[in-house]
Amino acid sequence: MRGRQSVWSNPKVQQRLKRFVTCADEVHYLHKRAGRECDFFRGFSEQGHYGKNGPQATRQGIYCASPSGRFLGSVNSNDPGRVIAMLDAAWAAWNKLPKKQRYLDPAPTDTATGRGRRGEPLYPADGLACRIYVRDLPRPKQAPARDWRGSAWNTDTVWFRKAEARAFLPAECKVGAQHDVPRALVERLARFCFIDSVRGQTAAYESKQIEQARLRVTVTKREGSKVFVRFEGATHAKAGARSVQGEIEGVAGFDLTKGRFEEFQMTLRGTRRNGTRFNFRQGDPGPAPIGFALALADPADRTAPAFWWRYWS
Amino acid sequence: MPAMLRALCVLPFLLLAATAQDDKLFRQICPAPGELRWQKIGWESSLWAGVVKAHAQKKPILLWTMNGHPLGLT
Repeated sequence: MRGRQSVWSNPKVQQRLKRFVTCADEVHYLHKRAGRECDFFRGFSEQGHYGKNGPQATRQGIYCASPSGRFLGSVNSNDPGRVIAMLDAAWAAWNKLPKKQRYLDPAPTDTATGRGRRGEPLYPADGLACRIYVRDLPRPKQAPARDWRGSAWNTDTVWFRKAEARAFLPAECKVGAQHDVPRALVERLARFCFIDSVRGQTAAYESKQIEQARLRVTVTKREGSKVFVRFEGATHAKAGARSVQGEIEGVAGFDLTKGRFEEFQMTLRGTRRNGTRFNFRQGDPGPAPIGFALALADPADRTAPAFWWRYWS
Repeated sequence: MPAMLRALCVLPFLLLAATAQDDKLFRQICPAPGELRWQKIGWESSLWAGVVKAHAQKKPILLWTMNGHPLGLT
């Protein structure tokens, strides 16, 4: 996650990336699952920086490969200098590779990937897809950490199907009408979205660990088929000593004719406590302020939510 | 002026003030443009989409892969 700023925002790295087709994907799926793209990944990753660490070791990192799947280079680093060195070496290896060995024959044209094992095919094109951002909020008597932790933030997506999106509104959208969003939908936010992933991955919450999940919607304005609403609510998730608790506020606009949100802005201002193995809260257990923001995702953004397989099970 | 009428007069301003606070918090949390430079690269969101595009563009592939999708929660 740190690499977003240290590596991928570096101008010298970005300049070199123009030579490549850049793609991003989830390593556990590529490393462990069956299917053509997973086989393709294993074909070159085993020659990479972690290939000698055994089948159970992670294969996280940055890899360069020919379209035919031949290994060109790899590294796992947040140091832009090391990434640049690898990119230069990989580009040299590409130029040395005979053209006959560069491509698959026939060239693949079908981008469809493993339905049932990936979340992207479940994208709710007629529903609600939001981007979530999470960041530490200023602490009254403590300066932020001076290293990457002081400015860390993370992101995810959350999806709601068409009927679920409509369930955010009252059946009759008159000005002044109020409606409590079904708990199952608010729980999705509490369990999977309002989690402390500021500095790294963390676990979701189980349904039984949601002590509070309420969201009230008030219709504030009607303009023909457009309904404008205000959100107000609260969530509290607690798993042992780990918790996130906060208050929700927001505004949104829904077009009844089109059947979808056209504006969406929601925040949770909360308090987080303790952490998990990989979210870098060692030495920083809190309680401390944390903030979440949700906005409509770009329609081209099909990144599946981190816990998509638990949404509708 | 009756108390209820006074309250109704104040309510729109309270809602405006609350909305302004919401906006401030929203902007505080959302990444600044400089924090999104990494997205400008233009990432295919799956390895196989990258393989198909690499054949079409006759380019090598760069794959960024992490625990959790790198374009999402990681």
